[in-house]
Amino acid sequence: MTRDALQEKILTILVQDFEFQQPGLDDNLRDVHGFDSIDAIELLGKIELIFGFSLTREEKEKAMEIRTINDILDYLEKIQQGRA
Amino acid sequence: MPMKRRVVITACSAITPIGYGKKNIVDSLQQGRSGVKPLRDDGLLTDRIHSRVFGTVDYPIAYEFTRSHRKTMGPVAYYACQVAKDVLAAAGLSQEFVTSGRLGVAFGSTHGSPTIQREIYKTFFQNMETEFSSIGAVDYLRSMVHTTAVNITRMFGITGRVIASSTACTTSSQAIGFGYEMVKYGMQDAMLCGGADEYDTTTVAVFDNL
Repeated sequence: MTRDALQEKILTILVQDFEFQQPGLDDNLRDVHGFDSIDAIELLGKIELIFGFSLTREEKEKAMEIRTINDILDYLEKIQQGRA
Repeated sequence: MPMKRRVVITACSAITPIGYGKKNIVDSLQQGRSGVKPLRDDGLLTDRIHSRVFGTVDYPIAYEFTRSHRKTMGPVAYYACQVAKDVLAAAGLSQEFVTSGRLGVAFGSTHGSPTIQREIYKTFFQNMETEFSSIGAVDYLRSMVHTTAVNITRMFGITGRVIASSTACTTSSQAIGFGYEMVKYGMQDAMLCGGADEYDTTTVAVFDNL
């Protein structure tokens, strides 16, 4: 999946499910949108549905470094590359 | 000699099958309006149990909860938090007092949220073709038996004692009793007390042979 396609899917999830208002790609998720650790776990579940496979424990642990939407997209691209 | 103080009730509210708030409830009682209706078909248990009737809240309520609060709430917590909001406003407690630790919560539920539990068990018992689970991170928080007390403290920033009773029909009265003791013996200066349950046919079913 291209970065643009991933971005479209993630933005849709963040707006529809997490009720983000005007998400910016470099917004700090916690400070600007109140995104917390429980939200992060929910988002990982939705990412598994996008990809159609379960994330490994190691892959999930790497998600802890995510701070922005661009970080999410970097993370997703790395997972795709690692599985290719 | 333990400290003994007088205890007063400064506010009350309720969401019931016969109305929301004192005026609507009293009106329904005076007019003989019942909240009991034919059992709703839940696609699972309705045809297998003896009970043919149930009572629930089937009128719209304009909740104004933000997503950060809603995400840990099942229907039962909506009722609980809405009446908590009402009584905090009616009692005239300042935000400073509410968050001071001098106010506690004694609030319970018989089952937590059976609506959410039903979804969790559906996931457990379906033949999943994929490994990834559809049980969300917040499903436990939404369904757990102490969900009402926890969501009230979370929503209003209450930092005093938290007691979650779960004693079926006496859940709310036990919570009020706990609150009375907390205030009477000086453990807390005020307590927000009560209970809530939501309708689900599974709750009717477990009492069906009593």
